Amino acid sequence: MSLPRWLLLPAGLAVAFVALPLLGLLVRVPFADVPTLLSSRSSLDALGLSLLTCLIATAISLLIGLPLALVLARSDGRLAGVVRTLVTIPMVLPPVVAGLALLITFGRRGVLGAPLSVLGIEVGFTTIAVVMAQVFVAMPFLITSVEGAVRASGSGYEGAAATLGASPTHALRRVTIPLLAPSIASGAALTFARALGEFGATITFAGSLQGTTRTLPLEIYMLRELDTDSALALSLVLIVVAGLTVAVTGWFSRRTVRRGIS
Amino acid sequence: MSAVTVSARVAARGLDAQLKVSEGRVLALVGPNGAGKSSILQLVGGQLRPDAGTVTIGDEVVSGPGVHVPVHRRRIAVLEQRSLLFEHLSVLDNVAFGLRARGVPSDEASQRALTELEAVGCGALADSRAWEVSGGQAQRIAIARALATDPRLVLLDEPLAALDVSVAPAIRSLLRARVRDEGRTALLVTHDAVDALALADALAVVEDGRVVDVGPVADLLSRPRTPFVADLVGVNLLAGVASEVDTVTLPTGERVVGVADGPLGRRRDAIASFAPAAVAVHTVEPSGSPRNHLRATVTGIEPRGSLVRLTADLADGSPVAADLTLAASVDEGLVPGRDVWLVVKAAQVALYPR
Repeated sequence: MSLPRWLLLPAGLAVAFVALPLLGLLVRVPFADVPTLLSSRSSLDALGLSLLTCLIATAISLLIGLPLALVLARSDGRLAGVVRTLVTIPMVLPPVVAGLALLITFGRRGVLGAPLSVLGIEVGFTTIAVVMAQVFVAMPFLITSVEGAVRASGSGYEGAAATLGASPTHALRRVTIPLLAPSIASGAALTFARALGEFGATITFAGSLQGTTRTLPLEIYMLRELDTDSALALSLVLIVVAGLTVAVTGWFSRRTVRRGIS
Repeated sequence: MSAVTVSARVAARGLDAQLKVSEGRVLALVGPNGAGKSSILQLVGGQLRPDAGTVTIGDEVVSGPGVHVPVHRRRIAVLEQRSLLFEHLSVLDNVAFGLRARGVPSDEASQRALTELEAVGCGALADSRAWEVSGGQAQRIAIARALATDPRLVLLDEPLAALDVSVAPAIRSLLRARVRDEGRTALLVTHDAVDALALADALAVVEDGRVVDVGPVADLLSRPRTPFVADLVGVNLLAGVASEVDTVTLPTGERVVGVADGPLGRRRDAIASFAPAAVAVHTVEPSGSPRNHLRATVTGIEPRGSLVRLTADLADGSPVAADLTLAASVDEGLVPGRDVWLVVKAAQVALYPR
């Protein structure tokens, strides 16, 4: 491959643009105090809440998003196209708009929220709202990545399983899902990471109550001027998780490629 | 093992197929690409549902009005170009897959799978991962996997097409031993006359979604009646009308004298066939010769091994191929567009009714 050498200049600028803020932040992190800063009551609440809600949001995404990905991958009709577009929207929608949509629908006076409220079920400003906001914005990552993998692998293996006498359910459990495991794992990691970073929809729909709805990003936002050191320590946690996610998804996609070739 | 009958239409694929495979026999389907061979296999396999008509396996109607037995309940085996081994399973678990899917206990399934693996010469690979084996081994394992469930019918969709020429013969004889010699009923789609001869008892020629000719493999291949089969076995085929006991008159008016192994009805459609190697090419009209000579225009010339394959069209556009030595083609100055005479000895032309 022979590219013009001057391309290296803008390419280098792109690297610098991404790397500098991360380095800048890392330079300022008070590493020695990080253990103390992270063990404050409010930090622990935020860490625990984020961990809990993101795990639940990822589990829900797998439970309902994985079936949708499989169905979409095997459908080519107009309806499938509409659904595919619909589930991609949250990926590009400004999170604050997503939060507003959830609030208007499920909030106390919302379209569905009002009747639920009559039944005594309050969703807005609870931990449930945090999870709903996270599923809304993060599940599309799982759906699109898994759907792509299912399409790429084709239906040959399921067809072979059927001729060997496997019912559709048996083929799904014993062939389709195991073969897709690397893609499902990397899709789930992406979903978890996106849910962990969720801010706009959460603050709009769930508010910022310590221990109930104040997740890591909300805590960082609140502390950024009051207690910059704590905000930096919590940010370090998110950066490490982001780095791990990239590493995990990269490892799984290389694994898929290697098996695909052989 | 069971007989198969197909009498079904699929409008979307322009398919209107009628065929029958007797119990314990192998029927090869040959025909041009897109003729509907694989669609027929899918009708029998259950991946394709007919608009009208029926498909039966044994005495069970598997597709018909209001009936469509799903693929996994047809008790068939399918082997295609790609071995489609499940990469997340060991070789042994691949072979045991069909038995496990049918509820055979794990230990018994593994034991039977190992026996099947040994029968295809891959017993030593039992513990390997499916993606670690070579292409030829993968196809052997796929054969073991397909036959492990003792299917009542085997569908072979170009099972040798993706294999290296160095391993294909071994897999061909394995298939012959495990399918034909064991008296299994099978349908084979192939593009190869050698496969058809080695693996099948009968041959069906499929063109434009229909079975246009069917008969014993050797008969059909030795007396091709369609351009496709003539191509498959590599002979020239000229259709005309019998004008004498040993003469066929072509649409161009030219006469081809040959050897008929049975009576040719006068004025009945008849075919003259001869090998490309039997054709000599002349640039001036040969005189005083009792041999056949036909006017033609060269359409192409290309190297083929140590020979040169020349193609030429008769006046009515019928193609004829001739195999020449390189020297002969150069000496005569044969280039596309050149008018030539094709000369064939009568003794090398087979005549038979169409």
